[in-house]
Amino acid sequence: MRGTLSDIPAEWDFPPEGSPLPAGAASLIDFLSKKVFNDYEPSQFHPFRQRLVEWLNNFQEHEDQQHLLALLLDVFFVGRREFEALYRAVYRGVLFRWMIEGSDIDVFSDDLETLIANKVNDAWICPISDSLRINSFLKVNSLKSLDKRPDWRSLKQFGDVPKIQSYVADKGIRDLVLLEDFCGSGNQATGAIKFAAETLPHVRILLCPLIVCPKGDEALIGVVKELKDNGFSNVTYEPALVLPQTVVHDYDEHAAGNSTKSDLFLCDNKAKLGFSTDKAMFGYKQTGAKVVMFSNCPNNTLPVFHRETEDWKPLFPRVDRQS
Amino acid sequence: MKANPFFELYVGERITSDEFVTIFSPSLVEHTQALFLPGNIVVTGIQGCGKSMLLSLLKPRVRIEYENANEYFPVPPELRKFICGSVNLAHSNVIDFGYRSSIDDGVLQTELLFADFLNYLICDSILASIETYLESSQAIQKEIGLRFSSHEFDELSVKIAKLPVWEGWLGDCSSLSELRARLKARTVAYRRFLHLKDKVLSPEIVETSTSIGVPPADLARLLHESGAVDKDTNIFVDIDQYEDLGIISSRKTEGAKVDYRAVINKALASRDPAISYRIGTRGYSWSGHGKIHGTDGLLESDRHYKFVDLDKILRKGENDSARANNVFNKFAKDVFDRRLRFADFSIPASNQESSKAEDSALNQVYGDQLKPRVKVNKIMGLRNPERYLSLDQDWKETTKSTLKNLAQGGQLYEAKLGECWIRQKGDKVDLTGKESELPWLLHSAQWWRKERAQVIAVKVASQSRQQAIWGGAEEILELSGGSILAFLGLNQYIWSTWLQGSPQAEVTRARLPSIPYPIQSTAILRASTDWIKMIYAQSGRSAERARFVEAVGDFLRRKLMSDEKLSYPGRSGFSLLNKDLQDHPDILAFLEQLADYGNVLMLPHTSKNRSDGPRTKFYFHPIFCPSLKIPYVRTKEPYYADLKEVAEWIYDAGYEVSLNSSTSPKQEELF
Amino acid sequence: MNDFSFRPWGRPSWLKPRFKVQSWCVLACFGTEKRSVKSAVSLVEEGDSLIMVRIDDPLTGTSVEEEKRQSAYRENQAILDKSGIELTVVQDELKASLDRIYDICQQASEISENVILDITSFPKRWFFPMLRYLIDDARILNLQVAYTRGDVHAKSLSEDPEMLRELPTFVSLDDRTNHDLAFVGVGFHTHSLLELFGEDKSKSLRLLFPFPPGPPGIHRNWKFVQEVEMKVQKDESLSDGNEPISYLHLDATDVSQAFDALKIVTENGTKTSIMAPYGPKSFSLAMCLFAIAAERAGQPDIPMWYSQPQKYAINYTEDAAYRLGQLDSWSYGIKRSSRFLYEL
Repeated sequence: MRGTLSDIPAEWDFPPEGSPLPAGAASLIDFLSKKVFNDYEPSQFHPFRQRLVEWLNNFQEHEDQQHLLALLLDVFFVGRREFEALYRAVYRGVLFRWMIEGSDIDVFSDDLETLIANKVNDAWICPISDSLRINSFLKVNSLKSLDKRPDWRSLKQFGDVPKIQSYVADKGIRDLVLLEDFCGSGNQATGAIKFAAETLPHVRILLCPLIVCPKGDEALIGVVKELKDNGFSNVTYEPALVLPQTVVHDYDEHAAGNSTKSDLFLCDNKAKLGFSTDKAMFGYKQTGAKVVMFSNCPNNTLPVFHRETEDWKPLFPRVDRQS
Repeated sequence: MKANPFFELYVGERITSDEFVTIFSPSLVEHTQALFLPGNIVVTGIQGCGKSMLLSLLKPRVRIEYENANEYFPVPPELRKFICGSVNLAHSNVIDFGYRSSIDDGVLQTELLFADFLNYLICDSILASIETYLESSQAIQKEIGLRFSSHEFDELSVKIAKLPVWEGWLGDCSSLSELRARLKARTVAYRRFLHLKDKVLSPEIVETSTSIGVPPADLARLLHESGAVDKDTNIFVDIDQYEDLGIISSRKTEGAKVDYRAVINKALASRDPAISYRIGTRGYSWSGHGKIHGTDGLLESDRHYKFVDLDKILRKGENDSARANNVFNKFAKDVFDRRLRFADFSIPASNQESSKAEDSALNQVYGDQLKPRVKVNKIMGLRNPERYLSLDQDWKETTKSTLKNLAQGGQLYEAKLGECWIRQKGDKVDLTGKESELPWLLHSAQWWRKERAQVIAVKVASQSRQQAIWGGAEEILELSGGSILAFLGLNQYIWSTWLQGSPQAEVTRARLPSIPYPIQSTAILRASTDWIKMIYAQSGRSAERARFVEAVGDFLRRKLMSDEKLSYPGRSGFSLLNKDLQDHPDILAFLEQLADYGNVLMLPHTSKNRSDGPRTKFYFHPIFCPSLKIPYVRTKEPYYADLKEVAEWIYDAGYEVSLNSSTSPKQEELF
Repeated sequence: MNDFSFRPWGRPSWLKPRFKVQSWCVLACFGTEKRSVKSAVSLVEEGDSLIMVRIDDPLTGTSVEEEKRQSAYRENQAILDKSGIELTVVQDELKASLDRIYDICQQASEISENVILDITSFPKRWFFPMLRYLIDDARILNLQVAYTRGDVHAKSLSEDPEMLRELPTFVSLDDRTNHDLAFVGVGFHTHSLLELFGEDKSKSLRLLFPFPPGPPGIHRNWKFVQEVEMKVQKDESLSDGNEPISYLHLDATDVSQAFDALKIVTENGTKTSIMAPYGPKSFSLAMCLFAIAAERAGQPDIPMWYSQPQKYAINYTEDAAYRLGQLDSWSYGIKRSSRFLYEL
């Protein structure tokens, strides 16, 4: 069956046997459209529902459209409120305990909250890239921190090492917290953390991505171990949320011949997206993620969601940075 | 998301007058007037049949809401003279005796304390109702025959506290609120004991424990004799969640012998004219448990209580030719109208007065009766319908072409009927004549057709690998199977699906919408599937029951689909010999549990064909049928199952039943 | 506006030494899941004691299924034996009396004044009253609650729920039916949620939405919310600021934060509430602690409504979850030198 859709057919609540859609798909997507996905910032003036129909109409065959929809239903969407929950989780879980670790404060003292809050405000809390909304993080947690909060990705590129070191010495900074909103492959964070560790070997450094993909998690665990082996034991890595394996498509498995139906669907249609390799269909560094944040869609996420060409309409158009 | 008029739960303040009076349907009152007359009443019905709605008419708050809303209180004026106290057995914690080990040390003692706790709860609830009425209008007070003022009740409280039945435990009370506080103090003491906040129950309480029913009766008598209420004002007590008494299953110790129900039965058995009990429960959990505490006698219907079977009442008129007037249908339509009015839809007044089915709001929104023929020929939208015919090679060419032509001409339904007919009766007749002369379409064959109508529709859906079509007002009423909860659920899903597809601007409340069949169908199917899943949330052996429904439903479906001649179109249910059931109480108990929870309908089966004795037939609740892909209509003969087969079904569902004859049923968890 | 307060919690190996006490008694549930014993064993160090409580389901399946259950117990026993830890095993039914549960808690406090309650496999019907008894027991000076996450959950975690009723010892002594707030943890099913509001009326419904999500995962949580939105009608006449249904997004491992959220919304327990501890165990734990704290502070009772399953899946989880080669466990400090850390 084929045809241009004007909306999601109600019958898709009971897709035929063999369809990739789960039962209840139409009602579920309706709910998610209104309550979850419409929070997507980069497209505020182009309603989600409209984008959805246009996106599904990238295909004409119903089966393909259903396949796209099935992929969408797998998406792990992190909305505004979820981010706020993450900010709190980072501060009150990860950061708090890390601070206690680095001091001899009695965990059971009555002033604990104040003591730690002060220590955190004395720490240098910086984002790794500018997509992490550091002001929101501080605001939600009623923190002030220092007024200079450069993103360390830029710092790595433009930073003057001596200047950084003297700033740290002047301010008496003992703790550096590096936050990132999303780590896919861990590539960006790796560069930043290595730079930070080497530049400030006597400062305690916490690397905390709010969200990290399984591959990224593995990579960052490895980086920290490597740093330790090379004498830099001042770094701790603790993410707030490690995404479950079910949220990513495994390119290595696909390449080894253990493709899922979804993998095959994606690769079969690579030409439509203007790609010539299977690899490309799995996103940046083949992370294969199905993650979307309200602020942006990471490029580690399957391009089928964010790619924008003459022949392909995106569902979650990216706010891209020029590389 | 726009509000769905068929919500289940309401959160907010407005839960008062508007909700009750607008949504609440009094349709069942005319059939259950016994509830408002003196005498004990046991009301049975499956969950969601409207029992609680009905019993809430006894509560003072509801009476007041009607007055506040300036609406006619649905109980006939001559029956309004009553004061009713309500006790919810689960909510009040009176069933929590099992939390203490003392239950194992003294079964009899436990039963006596249970009786005492319940007595105090009942008395306090009666006084609570009086307190509520004292704050109501003079009109209501007059109507129910409440004579005393607050002040006079305070004076009466002195006397009430001095009634010998309390053995002085209440002490001196100089006001109604003090009296209630004392009564409450005792119930609080019980709760504290049962939840181990106090290690022991105060010996004073144990020593002054009262016998079941005596304090409420004494209280009622005093209210009458003192003139506080008119002599003809009935004093009622409503006990909710009685059925849960049987399934609070204790641990496997002595305490398991405590028979709470026997205690309550004793209150009914006393037939004290001063006070009458109303007990809401489920069918089978009532029968078979007529023991009366402290005696060998059994509770008898008509002697000790009157039995009001709501399921039966709702089905009344089911076999009438004027189907639209069956009790449930009227009830459901009234609920439907009220829900829409609450959601600010305008329903023209003329609709409400008309008794013609087509005029009802329900019919306007969903369409009238969606016949199987229409489903197959029109709604399914099948292309090349002749593909779905299975024609035997040996049939005459004329036969085959007649059927093909019918199908191609948009009459696949008639063609399929023909296919079955010929399979069954043989390819004997010459079919080249007029369509109206085709043997299976003759008037004489109307019953034959009727018996197979639904199955054909389901079969075609199966063969074309599409979902079967469901919809239309009549079908929705049928699928509800006498359960107002199921009816609400179906509507909930349909409206949810419909609302999600309609842009904001289009949903006007000035006109009733007409919801297209495909939307109804998808929603009904979703509701049906979820309804089966919801069995798992029920109590008792719910998971086993759910699996039983799914597996046996599947078994019957396969039997129906593989019956090419459709000789047995009635196999959407199964039948067992009564003797076999009696001899295997485990199996009977499991099946009765299915019936009690409304998963299955249990009916006597007078088998036409066999002479091996009376039987019972079992059909799945209609609302499961769309998901099980079987017809819900009960026609002709069900599948004749044998006991071993059914035992295996139960075993596969995860419950090991004994095949030994005449063992007493597993004490445990079934009831 | 920082009304949150950090009460010590973290990995067991991080928290335990900070108490600076000699030895502990670990009280854990001996279940069919591997994680029940692995968790308990990991909490025990040199000098500690271990009491394992085996709790039998009231309903049994077929004999084939029961054999599988026994086999799982035997495997777990082997893990315990291999650990070489000296332990006491106590056994009883799920519906054991409160007297019995109390006695078992006494056993623990008789052994040591420092107790770790491992709630990994304890059903709520047990650990709710247990926690109360351990907090109230003046002999116990230091108390922790530990929990180990599991991996690969069974499709059907538990079956045959009892009717909805109050958890033992968490009742409204006054039989209150009107509440300002209702709190429900977002988890697997909504059905019981709606029954909750049969007798009980509340003005406002707060759903605790776990984020970061634990099992069953974010998609199942969204489905739960979808169902609630369909079935629940909001009173549109309420003024702004009195949102009848709202979601509180909370970390599924941070018990202290969840506790504070309850505290803030109920204005220190002055607003009456009713709770349904569905969803992640950490939320249940927070609710339990809050109810106990409210009681101690003389605030209105907080009844806990729950439909207790009568049969648990043998493979509730396939195994314990791990993080960086260690058990993915968390410990929460509850009492320190007799001071209840969750006091209101």
